[in-house]
Amino acid sequence: MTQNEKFDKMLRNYCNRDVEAFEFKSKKNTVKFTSLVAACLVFVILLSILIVPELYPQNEFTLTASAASESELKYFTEKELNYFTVGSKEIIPEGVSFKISGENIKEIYAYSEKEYLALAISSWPREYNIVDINFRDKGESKIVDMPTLLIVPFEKDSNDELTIVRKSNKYVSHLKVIDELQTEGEKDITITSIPIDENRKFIYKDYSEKYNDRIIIEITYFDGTKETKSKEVTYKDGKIVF
Amino acid sequence: MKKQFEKYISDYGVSLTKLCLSLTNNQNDAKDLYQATWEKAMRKYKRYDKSKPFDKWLYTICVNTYRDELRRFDKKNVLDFKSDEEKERFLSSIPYEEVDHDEYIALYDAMKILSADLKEVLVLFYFKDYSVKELSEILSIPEGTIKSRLNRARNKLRKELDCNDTK
Repeated sequence: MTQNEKFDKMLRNYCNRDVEAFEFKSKKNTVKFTSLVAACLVFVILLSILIVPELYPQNEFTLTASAASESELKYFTEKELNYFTVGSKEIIPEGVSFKISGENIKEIYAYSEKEYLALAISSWPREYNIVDINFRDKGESKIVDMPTLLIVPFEKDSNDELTIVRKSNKYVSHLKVIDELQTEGEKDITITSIPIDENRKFIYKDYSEKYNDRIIIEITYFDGTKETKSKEVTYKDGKIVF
Repeated sequence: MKKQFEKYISDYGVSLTKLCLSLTNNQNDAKDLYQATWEKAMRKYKRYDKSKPFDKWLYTICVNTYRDELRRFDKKNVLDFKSDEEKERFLSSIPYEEVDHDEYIALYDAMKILSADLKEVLVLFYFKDYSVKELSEILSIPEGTIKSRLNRARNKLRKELDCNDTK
């Protein structure tokens, strides 16, 4: 063997040693691999924690009961209304659920089979369907008969700020609002038949082109008499502006 | 991916160990390099072009990791081995066909004087008898540079070994 051959042989051996002595394989590798997998899992979990709130934001919107103006209804991502607060009191609603539909939480639906003390929904930063419900008087008002209706807006003691935001591919059904603390002689107020198109815009056949419409508010009094008021409205971002 | 990597580790774990040992010249650093290489391979697996051999891709990661961690390895190399026993085990892992044990000790010491760029070319060359072209692909270095580094590394080693002989 020449010196060159020996030199090459040494180096070849040096770079191809027996590695059994080093305990790199089998058990060690398995343990290391397991650690690696665990690390990957932790990474995925952390990533999920970061991403999921983006998809299902928590507490991004609240319901506010006007009975106590600072109260909030906490809304959670479980797609069920858990509770809301009136002042410091936590209220778990019965017979009422607010649900979020769509993967990206684009709509809020309010279902009510009972009379319900919920006076405001507010703060919906992602979509334009920000909802404000402000009932008249002191918040003892009750909403009944609001199938699939999303928003029930009334400005206290005034209809000047009535805002309705509702997205649906169907006509909004009859909305009936009963105010228990009615002003004298007043029984309930009804807003009737507001059609909405697929883009969640209100349709007013006679007026829509000009964005200058008239909405009808029907007030029923205890004595059975009714009073119908009409109001000029305009539209902004899918909302009616009185 | 887990099963896939279990197979890769089974197939290439030993080779990678050899490469890590040869590059780092010590067991502990080799273990770190080995682990880091697999970790990076898993993370970058999506980028792996499956039409190409996995082992070369793996060795590229290993060498790149070695470069990245070089400062740390070099620093740790001051300690080399914790005991003579450890050094003995390290050296005894080399096949002793027609070569004296003492000559490997000399080679081990000589390898330490090689700079990283020379060492990685030399190690990869003898590790799998890769051609200059293959080395060029693995190391992403022009073939001319590979040849030049290979010659310089050999000459330097020879000179160092000769010096040791004359001492």
